[in-house]
Amino acid sequence: MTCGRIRRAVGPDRPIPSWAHAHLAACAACQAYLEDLRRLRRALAALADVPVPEDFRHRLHARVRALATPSARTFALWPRAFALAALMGLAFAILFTIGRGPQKPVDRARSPHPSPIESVTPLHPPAWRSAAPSAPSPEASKPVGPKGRPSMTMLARSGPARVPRATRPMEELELAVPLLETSATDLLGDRLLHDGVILLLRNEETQEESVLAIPPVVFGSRPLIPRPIPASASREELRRIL
Amino acid sequence: MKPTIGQIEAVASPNDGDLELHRPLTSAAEPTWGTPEYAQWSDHELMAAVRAGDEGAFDELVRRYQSPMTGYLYRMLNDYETALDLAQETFVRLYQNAHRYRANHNFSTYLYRIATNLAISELRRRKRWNMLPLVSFFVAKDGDDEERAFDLPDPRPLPEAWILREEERQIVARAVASLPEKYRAAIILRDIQGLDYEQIAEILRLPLGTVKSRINRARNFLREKLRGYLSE
Repeated sequence: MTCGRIRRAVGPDRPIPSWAHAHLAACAACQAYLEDLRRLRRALAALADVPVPEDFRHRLHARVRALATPSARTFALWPRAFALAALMGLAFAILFTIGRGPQKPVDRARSPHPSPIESVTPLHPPAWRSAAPSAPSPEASKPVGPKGRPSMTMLARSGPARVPRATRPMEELELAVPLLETSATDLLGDRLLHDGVILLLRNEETQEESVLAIPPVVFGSRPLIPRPIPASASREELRRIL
Repeated sequence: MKPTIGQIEAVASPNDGDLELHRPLTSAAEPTWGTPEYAQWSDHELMAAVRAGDEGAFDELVRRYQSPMTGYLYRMLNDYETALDLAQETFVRLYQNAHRYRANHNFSTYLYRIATNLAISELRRRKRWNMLPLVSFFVAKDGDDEERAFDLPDPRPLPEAWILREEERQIVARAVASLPEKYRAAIILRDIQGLDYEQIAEILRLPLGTVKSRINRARNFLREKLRGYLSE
């Protein structure tokens, strides 16, 4: 039996196993080892006594009462609320700044039409048509929807600049949305995230046309669901939809 | 009449083990600090009363554990002022989280667990910022270039035997402070605070075998370091 095994088995805080008694009685080194551990344990136990200041409990109760006071708690929350608001504001500012990129300044003085028409341009050769629903052209009737879904053809989309607010008068909107005969399939280009788009879509099965206005929102929102435009829609109805 | 633990556990919530102590409780607005009645209550009973807003019960818990907590944190951090701050923080957290306390563990285990987390966070913060305790500015050098740490003043008279014992205490305390953290926590909890192995395993969230091994290694380390210092 080795001393190492005995030393792993014995300790100052546990009884000596019966099989180790004989070795311990014969081995002076192991006896000294065990005695050292016992002295060490007594010396360590003497470190337990650490004085506590008399005002410890009073200071503690003052802290606890301060926590329990609603006004104090409310007051303590203010700095956090301000910090959170400032952080959120900063995050929004950074997101919108990065998301928009450099904006081209619009030279309104040189423009013959200072209305929103200058901020929208057609994607492809101008085949203008009115904003009111109309019969589709042969080129536009090509289905582009994925398999299994109703085919939607994009008849037109707004230009690269920002989409005017939907609260503007209908006349301006009509000018601001030059509708284009096209079968473009890229409905979600980069421009959508930066500027927003207004799309005129047609369901190839029902031949219903819908206006889809996607606002210039970077995150936290969904595009508006297309709404069918009844053929008999009045100007007021179209204005309300847009 | 003081209810027993068995009675308390009988009314415990079947889902989460919460205690619901059915007895008239002291109003939070009128704490009865130092009431002898509290001295007879168990820790679990006092915690149930703290949950109901009884400040007197909380004061009794503080009275029972302020010295062990301060001692534990002081030996862990080797910095008295920080140990006092963290001991206070331990009790504040106990009070704040009283509603989450479960009576299915030893109360002191729960309290030591909070204190251990705070001590570990403080030690990590010190490592990150390479901080020195203020005490280290008051360290004197002995003739053999060994540092003599500042220790707490004691108003008692200074007989020779006491001086020798005090010197030994300081040497042992410095040896404990020089242990690696993982060994230090285990040996302080076992040989200074007197907790049992199972409790230490719960506090440190370690297997029982690992705790035993760490305590054994720490003892051997200290035995080597303090060879010749330990009195008969």
